[in-house]
Amino acid sequence: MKLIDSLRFRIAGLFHRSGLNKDMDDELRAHIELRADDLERTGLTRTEAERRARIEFGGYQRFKEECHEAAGGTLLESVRQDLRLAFRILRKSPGFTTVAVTTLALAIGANAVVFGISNALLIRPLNVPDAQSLWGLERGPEKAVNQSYPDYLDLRDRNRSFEDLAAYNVTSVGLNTGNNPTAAWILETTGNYFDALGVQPYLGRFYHASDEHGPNSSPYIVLTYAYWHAHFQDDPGVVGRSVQLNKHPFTILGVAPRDFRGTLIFLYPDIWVPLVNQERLLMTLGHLKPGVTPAQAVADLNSIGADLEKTYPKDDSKNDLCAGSPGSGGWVAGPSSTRISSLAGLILLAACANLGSLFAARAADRSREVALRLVIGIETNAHFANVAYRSPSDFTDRWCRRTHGQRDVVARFEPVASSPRGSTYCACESRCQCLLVRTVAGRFERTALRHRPGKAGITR
Amino acid sequence: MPDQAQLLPGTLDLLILRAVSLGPLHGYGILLRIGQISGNALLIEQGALYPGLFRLVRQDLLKTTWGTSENNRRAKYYELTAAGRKRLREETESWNRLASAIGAALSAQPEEA
Repeated sequence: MKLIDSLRFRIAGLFHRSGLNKDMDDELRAHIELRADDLERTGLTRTEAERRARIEFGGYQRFKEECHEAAGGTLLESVRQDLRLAFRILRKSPGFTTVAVTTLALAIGANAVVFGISNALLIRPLNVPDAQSLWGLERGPEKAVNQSYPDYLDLRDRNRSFEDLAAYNVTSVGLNTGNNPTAAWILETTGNYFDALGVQPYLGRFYHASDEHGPNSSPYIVLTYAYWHAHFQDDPGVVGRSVQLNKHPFTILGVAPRDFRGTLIFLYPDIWVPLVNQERLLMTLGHLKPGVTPAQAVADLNSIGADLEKTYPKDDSKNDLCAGSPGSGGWVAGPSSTRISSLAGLILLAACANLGSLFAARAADRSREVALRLVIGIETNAHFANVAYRSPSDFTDRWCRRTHGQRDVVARFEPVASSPRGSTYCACESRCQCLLVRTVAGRFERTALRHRPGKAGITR
Repeated sequence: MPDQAQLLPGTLDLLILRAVSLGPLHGYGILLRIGQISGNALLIEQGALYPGLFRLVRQDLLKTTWGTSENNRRAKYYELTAAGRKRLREETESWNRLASAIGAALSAQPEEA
């Protein structure tokens, strides 16, 4: 409750700053007036009494700031002030702002792309029931995802780890549903494909392993929901209708559920067709039996693979198999995703380096302005924040302020004035930048000292 | 006033609570009251009183109302809340313990030590 109260207080303070401000002014002025009344009674003139009351009161603005701080509104307020100032200064130099924003936009864009790809590849699994136990087979050191049909048959029939193994292949065909042949992506699958995945039809039925009777034996197709929706306007009477696939007649058996979009991550097919061409290389996947670990399955598969190597030494050399992410089409294989990530990293790094040097150049340009600020008495902290907010790694700066303690940072500013090459600032990520701030601050401070000879160092 | 003592850190809050415990006061009144009850022995910068007041209000130890002063000026009056009264009692006790301990330590004779 205390936290909530305090937050409410702070937020209220932020929005009612002007009210609070007036309140404070009224109160502090009342104090000075009351004191002046007393002094006037001792025989001073009103003007002299007021003058002396103001002197006795001390630094009016400083105490008012401290009151704000005590009232709890300062942190948010000062951040707001600094952001407003940063915004104003950026608006004053549109060229710089454009370059900075474009650089950041490109870097962020690159990151978004990488995230999109890794989301598709690594985070989002295929939309089938019990997706965690679904594994694809990969072969050899290149993690090739394709098996020959005879190998697939051996693996399917002899393994003891998978509930069932299905195989499929992607290709494009000319599909004519009336008078308008169009190109369509199809998945040619083994007859047990839908049963092995555990998917149920939305409409009509799927084909099964029992429908497979050798090449060209099953002229059936299953539509995806999206294709059915787009080309048949959700017509439920579509089941049983005949369409032309590469000018051969096929019968529509059913429609798949809306969420099931095939078993490829990068491509949603339009239709599924039973495998008719056994010469093709096939991607293979299946659900592990309950209680079987991927490692056990791999050992099981490799014992079959070793046997195949012995039996067909010419065709099946280097047949070590492993279980990988299903439906990736070979894309997930380590090197390519690592390459994408490092490329994006490099782009980000280049963007940061560019921005960093831009900011360094600008910070040097600002020496006159900051010297002025120090002369008119800006707090060191506020000045530091002012530099930091508009610097590329604002976050690391604040982090370093937090870890080293605010006081420490200020303390480390002090020796700068007397010996600019003095203390090292701090050993953190933003070291270069901190050094920059330090050097710059050192110069500002020295400039300020010339104007204010009585005051040595930055006091706090 | 040449012989005024500097306040120890943290004691201003206690003095404010004590001054206000004798009845509602505005800021300047609090300062006068502290001067009066301490025999003008403490040096308090006038403006430094206000951050302390705002802090105590925020901690719900004081509550405020706007009123009119004896010479007809609009002023903000402070008074103790129940929590403030409790805090004053606790702080007074702990101050007394501290003061007597330090006093005893400083007045101890070598042979007693």
